[in-house]
This record gives sequence, structure tokens and C-alpha cells, in this order.
Amino acid sequence: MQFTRELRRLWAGLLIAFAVMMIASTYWAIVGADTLLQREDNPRQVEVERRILRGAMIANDGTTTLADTTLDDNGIAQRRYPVPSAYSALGYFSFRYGEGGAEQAYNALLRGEAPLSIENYWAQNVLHLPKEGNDIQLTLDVMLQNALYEQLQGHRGASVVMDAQTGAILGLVSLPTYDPNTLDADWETLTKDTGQPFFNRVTQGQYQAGGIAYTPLMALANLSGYNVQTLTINANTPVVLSDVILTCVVAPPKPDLTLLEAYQYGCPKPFVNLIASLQPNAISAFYSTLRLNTAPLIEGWAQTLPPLTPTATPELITDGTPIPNVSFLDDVLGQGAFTANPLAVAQLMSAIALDGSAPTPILHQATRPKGKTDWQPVLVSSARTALLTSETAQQLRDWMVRTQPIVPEDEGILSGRQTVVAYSGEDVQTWFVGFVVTNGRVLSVVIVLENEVAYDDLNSIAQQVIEILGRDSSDN
Amino acid sequence: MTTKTLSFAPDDTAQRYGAERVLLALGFAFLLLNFWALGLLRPAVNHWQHLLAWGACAALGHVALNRFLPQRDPYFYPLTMFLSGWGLVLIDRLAPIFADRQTVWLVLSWGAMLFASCTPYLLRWLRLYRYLLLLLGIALLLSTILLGRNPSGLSGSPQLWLGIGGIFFQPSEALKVILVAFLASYLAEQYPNMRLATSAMFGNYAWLSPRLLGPILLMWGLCVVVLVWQRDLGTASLFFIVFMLLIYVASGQTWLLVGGGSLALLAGWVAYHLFSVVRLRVDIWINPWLESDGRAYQIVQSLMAVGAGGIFGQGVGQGSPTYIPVVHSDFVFSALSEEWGLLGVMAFMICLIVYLWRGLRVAMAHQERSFHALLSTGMVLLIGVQSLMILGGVLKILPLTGVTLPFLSYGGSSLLMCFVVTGILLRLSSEAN
Repeated sequence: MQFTRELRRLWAGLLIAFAVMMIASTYWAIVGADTLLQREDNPRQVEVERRILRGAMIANDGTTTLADTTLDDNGIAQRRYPVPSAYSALGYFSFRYGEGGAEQAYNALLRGEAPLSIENYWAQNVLHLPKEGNDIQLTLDVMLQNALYEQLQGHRGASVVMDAQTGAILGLVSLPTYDPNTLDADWETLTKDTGQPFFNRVTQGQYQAGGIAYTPLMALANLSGYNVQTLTINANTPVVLSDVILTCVVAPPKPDLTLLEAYQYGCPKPFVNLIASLQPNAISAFYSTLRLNTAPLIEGWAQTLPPLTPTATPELITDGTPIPNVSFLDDVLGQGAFTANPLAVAQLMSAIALDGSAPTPILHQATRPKGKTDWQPVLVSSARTALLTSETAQQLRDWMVRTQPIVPEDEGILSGRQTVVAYSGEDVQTWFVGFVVTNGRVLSVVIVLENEVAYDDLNSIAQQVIEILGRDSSDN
Repeated sequence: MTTKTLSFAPDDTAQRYGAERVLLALGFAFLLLNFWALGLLRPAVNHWQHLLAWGACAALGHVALNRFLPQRDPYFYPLTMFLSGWGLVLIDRLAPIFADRQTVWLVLSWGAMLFASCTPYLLRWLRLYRYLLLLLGIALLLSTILLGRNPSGLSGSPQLWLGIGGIFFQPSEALKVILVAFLASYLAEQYPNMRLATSAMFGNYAWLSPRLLGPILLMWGLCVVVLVWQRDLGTASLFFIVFMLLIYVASGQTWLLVGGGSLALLAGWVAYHLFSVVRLRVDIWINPWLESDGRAYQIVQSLMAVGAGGIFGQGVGQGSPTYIPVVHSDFVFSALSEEWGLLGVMAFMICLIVYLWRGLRVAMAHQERSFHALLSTGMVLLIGVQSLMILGGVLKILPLTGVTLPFLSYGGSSLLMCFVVTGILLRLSSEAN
């Protein structure tokens, strides 16, 4: 047996060598696979992305398509956004630039990665079939969305309508915006646009609060037992703050006003007297409770979208960080460091319109797997955030309904409103905040226009929106 | 001269035929499924002629071998057909324009295998006319150096082919079989002297005898010629490794392996500093990630393909292996990994291991017939070492050497060589019984 030993050793060597190859294969196929697949220079990433049939986004009527994906002749997915008024509410999806807005927030759902059923897991990770995303139904009302979009044409600003009972966002418009259908081609221009079209003013914006501060001050008056009939002599006198002089929003017919009348005409002086009678710490604590300067987290969104820094307005101020060299009075009267997010203000309006508690904003109401017809409702938290006591909310509701004479009462529609101006350096914003009760539905409305004292325009816009809301509710 | 028989006794013939038939049927089912899947993906292209050609060869070969070589090992033929059929699927998927040509080469190779296995005096001729074989090998090498071309026609690319009438053949593939046959014949005669000489080598200097050093230096010279004139690092390395291992089996001296390995490392170090192609391959082996978009693009894409395959693979036609340049040739294993996954990789490697195991069993069975044992070992080493070299290169264990993956890669010469090896192993296994 002359070669036995050598042949056995040779066999052992070959076996060891193949075992090493097997181990190496296992390493690259399992242990190192994720690292390899996530490398930026891996063209398979793009290949996989381009084959994903991303889910559609549908309006709350269940039929109107706001965004969908189709495959072209080469099997490459193409994203399409057919409703211009919904552009700013939807965000964007691009192979080159990723996702933004709702497209980003619901990315896992739309890509079919969550919820990951056993069938999905098998199809995606074992059979490596192209991913098919889930369709999602949003709370957006197309008719209202179109109306908001039309009314805000020619302006720059934000507008949001929320169902005060459920938190469903029925309308959301941020202008200027962009066309996500042509995003790749327009990207360079859009990123250099001083109007900051990628900045969603509803979900990310922080505007100077201005006269919005009168509403929490009225709440404080109620809570502290302050007599709102207290008369202030020469209440129409301007109030001089650090860098701005505040006057009445609407010229009152007489110089001496009660606090309630001052709230009606937006005159600051009686509020200065009110502030002087309150504990500063109590005011600060109450303002902190309202969290108007913090964009609320929309239900299901992993995190608030990172804010982009705009050039001038809306002004971004770090959440809750006080500015030491601005006076307390400035802050409390809605100037200085007191900024407000439109969605947070909509929450406050919802709390006033109901029992003092605010709902969590909701944009996504149902889901269905691709190709299925039945929508599965999204389970949302029913927890509400208490902002006011129910008595205070009721009192504020009455004051807002009865004391605002600017817009005449509409038939069958009960609405409370406040239109105010806010100054931010050389810039100025006009706010409309309010609520509408019609056909059993309670809706909060917030509209803010940037860089314009458009008191009459804004009231006109608000009037149109409220009328549409009344009609819309009747149809429903 | 006595022989040790394989485990199959003569009366097990029916069982052996049955095993071969079952294995061929399993291979056919696998290919049918994969060609069907390819047909679904590319309905405009006709894939069935490849399967039909394969099926006809497999069936006729089985019948012919039953008639002319009834005592053969039942694993070589189905494994060879299965792996080459899998290669057909891969070529059809990766480079469909070459699929017809590869099918023609499959049929030719199959014919060559039948010729090699069924020719009664082949082994005797190989043993007796070894110097003629050596001359033929040197002539082939010289003709390639003088007349070599590259089918792509690109200037600067390796001129490793001989072409006649638009048909190209790579002589180095034939040279592999010829040199192994020569060495087996030479070592079968010299191994008793080598064992005696090496056992007392430090005493009588018999190991310096030209008889022993001659073939070593000759092989060394051939490898240098191949490397220097043809820039063919893969073939040179393969020759040297197979040769050293055969010498080891014949002489039984481990120091030869150590010395040969040291010599290879020294040659590698010199080649690294002399030849840019060697330097490039070593550099991108050590760190491919620095130049993933440049010189290391091929190996990085290859690793990405293995990673993309995961355990179960993307499915035939579903992956993106064509990002790897020349994937159908040197990197066909990466494509297999991406589309059949780790399961496919394991299946492929197990097939190869079984093939090599059966080959070494044939060698063990022939221990009283040293030429047969060494020839069988050499054939096993040709397939085994070449497979390990390319697998190691693709998996970043070794520098890339540019050799093909036996049975799977595109290339007529390579396929022909593999089938001839199988033919010789079939013949050897038959004679062992």
C-alpha cells in the first residue's frame, strides 16, 4: 500500500480546503451580507428599490388616488402624484433623493416592510420576489384640500383643518410647495429656493405667536378668577415692547374696554394689566403645558420631521429654549421667544371646541395590502392630552363664539374665531385660528399667512373655508 | 500485478446502473425546472434545445457506458453531466448569445469523454508514449507563444488561444491533462528511487540526481514560461501546485511540499515585483474596498453577488450577477451564489467533493498499479485544485488567478478538458473493478 498515507493526507487537505470555502461562502452570504448590500456602491440596492411596487396613498373617500406607483415597460417603478393640492401633505419619493413628509413617515408600510407577515417575509427574504407595498388611506378630504389650496394661492403660509374629536387631519397645505412628479429634475432649483418649499410649515413651522397669546391669557384669567369685565381706561393705547409697538388689531369704537372687549378687538393694554396681576411662574407653567411651540407628533410618525432652517420666516426657535435678553412681557404677549406651531395651535382650538382635551393628530386611517379591496382601520390611541379644564374650555368657547364680531354668523354653523397679527423682527404674520361646529362635527381651523398683514384677506379665506366645511359636513 | 477493487462487486452492476439512472434523472429534473423558470422570464428566447441536447447526451452516454464500461464508478458520469448542465443553465442566463456554442462544446466534450473512457488501450498508450506526450505538450506551448491570439481581438489581452476558421481552442487546457499523464507515467517509474533517495537524502546526495531533479526543473521551467510569456498566472500556479502534490504522493516526503511551497512564495514575491498583472491581483486581494469602483470592481461586485444571494438565493434569472464583468467565465460561481444562494453553493461543493472522493477511491484501489494510482490522483488534483483556486479567488481567500470553474464556466476548451478527465477516471474506475 505505497500511497495510502499520502492519499489520505491529500484527501484530508482537500476536505479542509473545501470546508474553508464553505465557511467563507457562509460568511459572505449570511454574516457579511448586510454590510455588502448596504454599501453605497452596490448597484443591487438601486435595482431592488426600482422594483418595489410602492403602495398607493388614497384620500379619505377611499377612491381618490393621491399617489401611486406603476411599472413602466422596463419593469421600473414610477411614482405618480395626480392631485396638486395634496403635494405638500404627501411629501415626495425619489430613487435619487429618498423620501420626505408622509412618504417618509409611512415608508415602511408603503414599501411593504411593515407589517411583515409570514407570507411577506417568505416572499421578500426567501423567494426574493419584488416587494409590494401596502396602500394607505389618509384622512385628507380632497374637496377641502382643494379648497385650502385654492384659497391660499398667491400667498405663502400654512393651513390645517383637524377633526377636534378624532384628531384626523382633513386638510393640510403648506405653501410654497413643489411638484413631486418632477422632483428629480427640479431638485437643484428647489433646494436653492429661498421660499423653502421642502419646509412643511404645518408640521415643522414655528411662527411668532403674536395675538394668539391672548387666548391662553384669557384662559389664565378664567382659571385665576380674574374679572374679565374689569375696565381699563384708554385700553386702545399702544403697548411698547422691546422692539415692537403693539396696537389693537381692530380699532375699538371707544377708548375704555373690559378685558373681554380687549380680547374681541385684540387690544394689548388690558392684557398687560392682567399679566401684572398674575404670578409669572404660573404663567410660564401654563404656557409650558400648552406646548404651542412644539410640533405635535402625528400618530404613527416615528419622529417629527427634522426642521429645515428657513431664511427669515417662519422663525425657528429651539423647542422651549428661552431667550434670556427678551423681556418676560414680550414672551407672554406672543412676541420674543413665544412661537407657535400651526398643528399645535389646531390642537389648542380642538381642546377649546370640546372639553379642554386635545386629540393626537392622525393622518393615516386605514391600510390594505396591494391588490386587496378591504381597508383595515388603523388602531389609534384614544388618549387625549388635557390642556384646559372643561369649564375653562367652555368659557373660552363662549367668548370666541360671541365676542368676535368680524365675521358674521353663518347659518347652521357655529364658529369661534380669532384673527391676530404677529411681529417677528421686520416680518409679520397674520393668523386665523378657530373652530367650527356643524352637523355634529367639531373641526379646528388654523391658517397663517407669512409676511403680510392680510387681516381682511385672511378673514375672507377663513369664511370660504368655513362655508366649505359646513357644506362638506352636510354631504357627509 | 494485483488490484484492489472498489466497493462495487461485479454482481452489483444492476444496482450501479440504477444509481446512475436515478442521479441522471434528478439532474434532468433540476435542469428542467431551471430552464422552465428561465423560459418564464425570457419567453422570446428558446431555451429547450440546450436541455434536449443535454438529455440526449445523458441518455445515450448512459447506454454506451453500460455497454462498453459496465464496471465503471456510478458517480462520475452523472456528476459530470449534472454540473455541466448546471453550467449550461448559467451560460444561458448570463450570456445567452454563447449558450448555443456552449451546447455544441458540451456535445463535443461528451464525445471526447466517451472516446477516452471506452478506448481499451488509452491508459497503456498514455503510459508508454509519455515522452511523445511531453513533446506534444511543449509543442502546444510553443505554438501558443508563437501563434496565440485572443478571441476578443483586444490588444494587450492574453494571447492564450489558437484559432482555426473562427473556432478557438486554449492549448493550456489540453496541456494540463497531457502533463499530468506524463508526470504520472514518469513518477510511476521513478517513485521507488525517489522514496529510497529521499529517505537517505542527507547522506548520499541521491536527491540531487538529474533523474529526480529533472522533471522538477522542467515543470518549474514550464511554469515560468507560461507566466512570463503568456502572463497566465492561473495556469502557471495550477501546474505547479498539481505537480508538487503529485511529487509528494509519489515520494511520500513532506519536505518536498514545504520546499515547493517556499519556492512558490519566492516566485510569487518575484512575480509581484516584476509583473503588473500579479501586483494588481495581490493588491486587490489584500484590500479590494479601496478601489471598489476601479481595479477591484470585479471582485467587489462578486462578493456583493454572494451577499445578495443569502441562504436561498434570488432565484434563477432574478438576481443581478451581470454587474460582474465577464461573469460567465471566471465568476460563474458568484452568479450561482446570487441566484441559488448558499444552498446552491453547498450543493455544488458537495458534488465536487463527491467527485474528488470517488477519484481518490479509484487511486486507492489502484495502489498496486502505480501509474493508474498516480494518474487518477493527478486527474483529481486537476479538478480539485483548479476549483479551489477560483473559489478562493471569488471568495477573497486567495488572489484571483483567472482560471475557470470546472464544468460550470463558459469555455469549450475547459469543458473539453473536464470531460476528458472524467473519461479517464471512468476508465480507471472500470479497470479497478
